[in-house]
Amino acid sequence: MTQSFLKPKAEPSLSVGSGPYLHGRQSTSKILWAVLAALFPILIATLVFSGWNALKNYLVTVVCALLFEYFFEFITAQKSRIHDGSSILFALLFCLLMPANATLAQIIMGVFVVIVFGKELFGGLGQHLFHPALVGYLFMIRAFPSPPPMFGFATTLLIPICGLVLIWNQLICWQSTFFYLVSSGLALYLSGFDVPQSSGFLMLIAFFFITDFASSPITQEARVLFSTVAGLLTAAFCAWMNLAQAATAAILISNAAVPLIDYFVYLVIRK
Amino acid sequence: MMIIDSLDQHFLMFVIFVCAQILLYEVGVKQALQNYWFLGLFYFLVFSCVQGLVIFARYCLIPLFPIPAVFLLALVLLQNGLKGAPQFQKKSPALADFYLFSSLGLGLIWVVDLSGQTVFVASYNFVEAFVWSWFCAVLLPLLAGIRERIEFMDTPPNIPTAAIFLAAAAILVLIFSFF
Amino acid sequence: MKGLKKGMALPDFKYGSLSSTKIQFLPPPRFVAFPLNQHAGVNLKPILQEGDEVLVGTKIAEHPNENSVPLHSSTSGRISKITKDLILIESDEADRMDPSIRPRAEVPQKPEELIALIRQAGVVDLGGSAAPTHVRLLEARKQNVHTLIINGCESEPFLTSDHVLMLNHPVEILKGAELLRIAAGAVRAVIVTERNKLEAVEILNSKNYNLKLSTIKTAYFSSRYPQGSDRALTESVLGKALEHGQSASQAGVLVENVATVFAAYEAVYLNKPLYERVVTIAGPCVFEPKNVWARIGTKASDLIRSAKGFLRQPSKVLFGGPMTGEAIGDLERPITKKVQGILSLSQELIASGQEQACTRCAKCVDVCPESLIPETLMRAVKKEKFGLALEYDIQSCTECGLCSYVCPSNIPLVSLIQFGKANCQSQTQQPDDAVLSQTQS
Repeated sequence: MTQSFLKPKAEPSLSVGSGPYLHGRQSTSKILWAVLAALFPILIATLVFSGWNALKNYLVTVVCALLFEYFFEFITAQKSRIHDGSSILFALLFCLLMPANATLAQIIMGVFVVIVFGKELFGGLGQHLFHPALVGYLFMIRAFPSPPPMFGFATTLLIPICGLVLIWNQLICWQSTFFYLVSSGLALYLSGFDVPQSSGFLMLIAFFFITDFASSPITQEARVLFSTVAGLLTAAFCAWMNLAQAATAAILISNAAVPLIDYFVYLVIRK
Repeated sequence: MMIIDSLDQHFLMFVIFVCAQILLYEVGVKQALQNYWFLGLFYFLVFSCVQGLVIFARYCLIPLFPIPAVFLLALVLLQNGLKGAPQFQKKSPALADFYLFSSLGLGLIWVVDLSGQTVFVASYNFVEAFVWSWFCAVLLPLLAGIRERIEFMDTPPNIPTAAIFLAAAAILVLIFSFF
Repeated sequence: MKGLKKGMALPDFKYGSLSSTKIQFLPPPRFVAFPLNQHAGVNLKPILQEGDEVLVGTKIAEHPNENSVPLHSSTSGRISKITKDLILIESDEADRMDPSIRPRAEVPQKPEELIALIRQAGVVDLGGSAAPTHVRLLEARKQNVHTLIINGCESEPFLTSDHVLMLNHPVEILKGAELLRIAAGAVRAVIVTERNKLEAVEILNSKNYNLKLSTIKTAYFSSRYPQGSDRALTESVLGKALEHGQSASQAGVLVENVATVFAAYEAVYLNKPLYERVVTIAGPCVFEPKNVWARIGTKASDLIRSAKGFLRQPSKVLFGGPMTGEAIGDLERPITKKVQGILSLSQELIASGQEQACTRCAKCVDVCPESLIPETLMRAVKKEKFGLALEYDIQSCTECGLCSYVCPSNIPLVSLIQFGKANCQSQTQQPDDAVLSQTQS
């Protein structure tokens, strides 16, 4: 049809698309950066507690994490994903666990394991089976003798505060945190362990390590089971090794069991 | 515990063996869970046979080296017996081969381990047998789950899934090397 | 009776079209068009020819299949064109009604007669599925349903057509509810709505006080989407969860929309066929959002003109609600019986951004009202493992759209699940979960 004089401008055609035409306006990148933001006060607190020379460790960590991720994605011909901030998050979590006097070489090696073997090899964000920071930490403690990380009183207070802020904004799942703390705390207390001394470490694990989405199950009930099992295993393994090693082993074993837990819980729910 | 002591030498062998099982036979989680009780009992039987054979050989002062051959013969007979069983007819005809390979490998690992023992293994440890067999039976669906998940996820394009699965298994070995 | 526990409370956006609770009557449109495939699979056959005169309510198409309902003209005038999938009628704008449309002296009481009248009037489910109502009633009788639930929830944002219908015509709805209750063979009927429509509950209760229909009750639940789904209503009203795989009719419940009830009332009491319905014209891109009595077959452009046209160029124009509606590419498209609303949405409401990787954050799992795991379904469909998707109950998905709404990685979950459902049906079921292969023997 020829254009009518009454409608001098051609009307733009409407696109169709599909699916719901409304969106909740949340974004994965924002969630990751928010978790990083919550981690930031804790990093500052550890620097204050253990000395500012650990700052170079953190900086090296961040730079190396981005570099390793970029190069891995370049080598495997994938689109670069370094902007979502997940590799910085895992590398910084790993760095928190390392002792302050770790050499740069150790840090770089550890970050390499975290990024390549922990995260990228399995497919990147959301696909990793084990918690990348714990994979790196496992590698480090098997390769070099490391003392378990100790957190001062201020940090121990700060961790739950930052964690609760995240839970309040529904950025991490509260069931994992709560059940891990309850099961590991109770089991450790009952077996005579000195819980208050290592509570900082337990809190860190509970708020930042167990709650990682990709390495925990997908249904609420499965997450409860997962974190309870991880907590009990943490307490059980303390009989053979120190708390940091026990927690690492326990959580990594639970991560390995996640596909099984997911499958099992979904069958039970359906019935 | 006998097996737990030698874990850091033989666990690697063991995990690689289980991984090979899962990669070669493509055992699914559902399959493994459905056959869970049977697997546990089966490995218990295998462990007991191996233990029994070793105790018998030491008691009768027979050297240990023909044991693998005897074991293999017993397993082939068992496999042929299992093939006719109705339990397997409805699940999958290849299940009997899986059991053969599974028990063969496990038996060999145990015999190798036991022949390296300097201590005379005089008694049959029921608890150890039980724990070991259920541990094997649980590890199988666990690793099968990991394999299915790795296939399911968006892994990097140029890397084969078998390699990623073995990397996951390597991490598990590293964890167990603590003990 | 508290209501849906899963799902989520969506932002309302209903204030626009509720600036007036009246339902506006529109002048008859110049042209009306009737696509002949009004419900899935059945192409109606026109019974008149080009050039024939029609009145409002004249039957213009039907199909011998007993699961189909006839189509009636919504305006008086002349049939200007009949193609193989369209009937175009040019109106004379005189609105001459067919003489058979007049209040019935004797209202039949037998269910079979009611069902026949409802079928003759072309009443379909006006809540979005457009399934013929008589088929649903017959199915309900076969399943021995004991409760008729009348869905006045309208939990989707923007839509207010059911709300204003309840406010303006409570007596008709109550009488129609009683008719459908008798037709379905149910013992009781419950008119269910949401907490943001309490005036409707009040009006219905006060009219029922005079009508004394003791079998009709009202109830209201929380304003969560999708409160109006079959499963949510059945579980809320009966007070117990449905078993896995059990449908509403198997639990003894029939769910009908209030607009359907009103159409059934008009069909039986006034012998009036279904040729008009309440439509919400809303969205931030129209000048004056409102509810109107729209004739079936009116073009979208005519209805938007009745809302004084576009305030600004919309990004999308939808038939239906924003969650389950369908975007139209051409404003000349006519409305059919199932169109509840015409929404003109702007980019900032729809814009979701770049698709990122799924992080297994499980927000989709938390909101899914059918308790499915959309993440697993999405991965199964992407890897084309349709057997696995079937194992995770992809067919139970009601396509409510909440998983896509809530996904922080902007993954088009609903499209993927729809694709998966289509492929699952076309494939013979291959067990995808790995079987022990026949190697080395």
